Amino acid sequence: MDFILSGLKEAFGLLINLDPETISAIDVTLKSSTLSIVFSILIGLPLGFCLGFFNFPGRKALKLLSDTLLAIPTVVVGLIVYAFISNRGPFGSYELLYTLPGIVIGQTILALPIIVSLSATAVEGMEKKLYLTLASFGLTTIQMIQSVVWELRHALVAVAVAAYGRVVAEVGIAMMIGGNIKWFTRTITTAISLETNKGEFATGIALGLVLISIAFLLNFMLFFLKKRARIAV
Amino acid sequence: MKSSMYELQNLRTLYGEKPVLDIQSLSVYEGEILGLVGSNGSGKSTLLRHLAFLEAAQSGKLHYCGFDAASLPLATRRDISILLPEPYLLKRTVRENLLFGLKVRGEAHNADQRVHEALELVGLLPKKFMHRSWHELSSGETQRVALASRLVLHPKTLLLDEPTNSLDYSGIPQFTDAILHANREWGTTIVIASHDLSWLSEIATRKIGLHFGRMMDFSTTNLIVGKWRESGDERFFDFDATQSMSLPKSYRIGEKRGVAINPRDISVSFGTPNACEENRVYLNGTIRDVLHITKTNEISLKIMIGNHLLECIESFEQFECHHFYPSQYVTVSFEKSAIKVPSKEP
Repeated sequence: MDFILSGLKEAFGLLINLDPETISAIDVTLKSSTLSIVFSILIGLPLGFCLGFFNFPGRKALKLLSDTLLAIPTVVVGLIVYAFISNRGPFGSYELLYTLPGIVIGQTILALPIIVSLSATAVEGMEKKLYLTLASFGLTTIQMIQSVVWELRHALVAVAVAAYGRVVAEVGIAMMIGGNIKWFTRTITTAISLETNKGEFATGIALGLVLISIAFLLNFMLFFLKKRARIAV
Repeated sequence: MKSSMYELQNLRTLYGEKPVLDIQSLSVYEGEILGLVGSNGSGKSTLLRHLAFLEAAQSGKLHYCGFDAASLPLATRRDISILLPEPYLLKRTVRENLLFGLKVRGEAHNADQRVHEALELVGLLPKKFMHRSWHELSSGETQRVALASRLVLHPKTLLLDEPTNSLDYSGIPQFTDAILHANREWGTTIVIASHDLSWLSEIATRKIGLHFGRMMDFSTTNLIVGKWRESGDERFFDFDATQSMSLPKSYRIGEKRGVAINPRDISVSFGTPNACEENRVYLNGTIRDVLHITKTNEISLKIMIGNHLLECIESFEQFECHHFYPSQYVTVSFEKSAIKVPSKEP
C-alpha cells in the first residue's frame, strides 16, 4: 500500500516540476492524437455525411461495414499498418515505422470508422422537420449541405470528441508503430505500460492522472454538446 | 378574372396502397386566401407539401405559374414559402432565423429593417426578441418567429399548415393581421389548412373541403360518417332510435367516406311541418349554437340531431323573422338530392 501512496506523492512532484520526460510523453500524445483526429475528420466527415444524407445503392452495406470497423481492436490496426510501412512492406521506403507520422497514420485509420459511422448516424437521425424546413427555403444542394452541417454542429462536434477519446487512450498502435522510443514516440499510454513493467509507479501514476484529466475534460465537453444537440425546438 | 397561380389536374398520391390525395381539378388564383378544411388524414398537409414542391405527387399535373416541378426555376420556387405544422426553428437566434431565408437568396439589402418589420407584424418586440436563442422561446413565440421568418421574404405565395395550433386566443388577432397584411400589401396568394373553422371563415376568401383526399365543393362541416343499414332497396342512416334518412342503393356510399350536406341547402322551421314531401328528409333536433357570419351576413345554426351535429346556414333576414336561439326545438329538412356522396372510388 505504501508504494502506491509514495508513487502518488512522487507523481504530483513530477507534474508540478514539469519533469521533461513526462512532458515529452504528454506532448507526443497530444500531437499524434490531434493530428490524427484532424485527418480523420477531413476524410471521414464528408464520407459520413454522404452515407447518412444521400440514398444510393450499397449504402446499407457500407454503413454495416463502417459500423463493424468501429469495434476493430487497436492491435489489429497496428498489425496492418506495420505490415504496410515496415521495411519489407510496400511503403517501407518512406521509413515511417517508429516515427510520429507512422503513429498518426495508424490512429487516423482507427478514428476514421468512428467519425464516418457516428456522423452518418447523426445525419440520418436528423429530424424530418429540419429537412423539410430547410428544403422549404429553396436551397441549392451546397446551401443545403452547409445548413445541415451547421444545424447538426453540436452532434458532429460530439462525434469528433468521442473519436478523440478513443485515440488518446489507445495503446496498441502507439506501441507497435511508435515503438515507445523515449523523447520521440513515447506516448502517455506506452509510457505507463513500460514504467509499470520497470516498477516505476510514480511516472505511471502521473501520466495516468493526466490521461484521466483529459478523459474527464472530453466527457465534460460531450455532456454539454449532447445537451445542446438535444434542445431542438 | 385574376390569373391562376396553381393549376392542378388529376393529382394523385398514394401512401402504400391507400390513396391520400386525389384531386380532379383545382385552381388557386392570384391574391386569394384559400382555406382548406378537413378532418385529420384528409390530405390537407399532403396537398400543401405538394404545392410547396417539397413532395411530388405520384401522378397528375401540378403547375405553378405555368411551370411543373421539373421545369420550375429556383428563383420562382423561392417565391413560395411554407409554414409547416409545429414549426421548426433553426438552432440560431431569432435574428439569424429571420435572416436565413434572405441570406440564401442573397438579399442582404435592408435586411435588418425587414427583420424588424416582420417581427413587428407578428407582434413580437424586435428589441426584446431579436437576440433570443431558439430555445428561449415559448411554443407560441416559436410559431410567430416561424411565420415572421416567412413574411420577411415577402413571398408571392404563402402556404400555412395549421398556423394557429400553438397560439392562444389573445395571439390570434395579431397573427391574422400579419397574414392579411401580406395579402393586401404585397398581394401574397395564401393557402391555409386549418381545423379552426370559424377562424378560417373569417380570413379566407374561398374555402374548399377535403375528405379522404377528395375535394368537396363546400366546407365539410356537415360530413356524416358512420354505418348505413341496408333494408330492401334502400340504405338507412340512423341519427337516433327513431330518426333516420335513406338513400337508394344505387348511391355508392363508402362506409368510411360518408356523405356531406351543404349547410345552405338545409332549411329550419319550428314544430312539426304540415305537409311532408316525398323527396325531403325531415329531422327533429335542438339548436345548440347560433353564430353570425359577418362576412356574408348569414346566421350559422348548429343543430343537434340524435348524436350528430348538423350546421345550417340561413340568411340574416330569415333570422330576423324567426329569432332562433339555443335550446330551441326545431325541425330541419333538406332535399334528398342535397345529400352528396363524394366522387366514386378511384
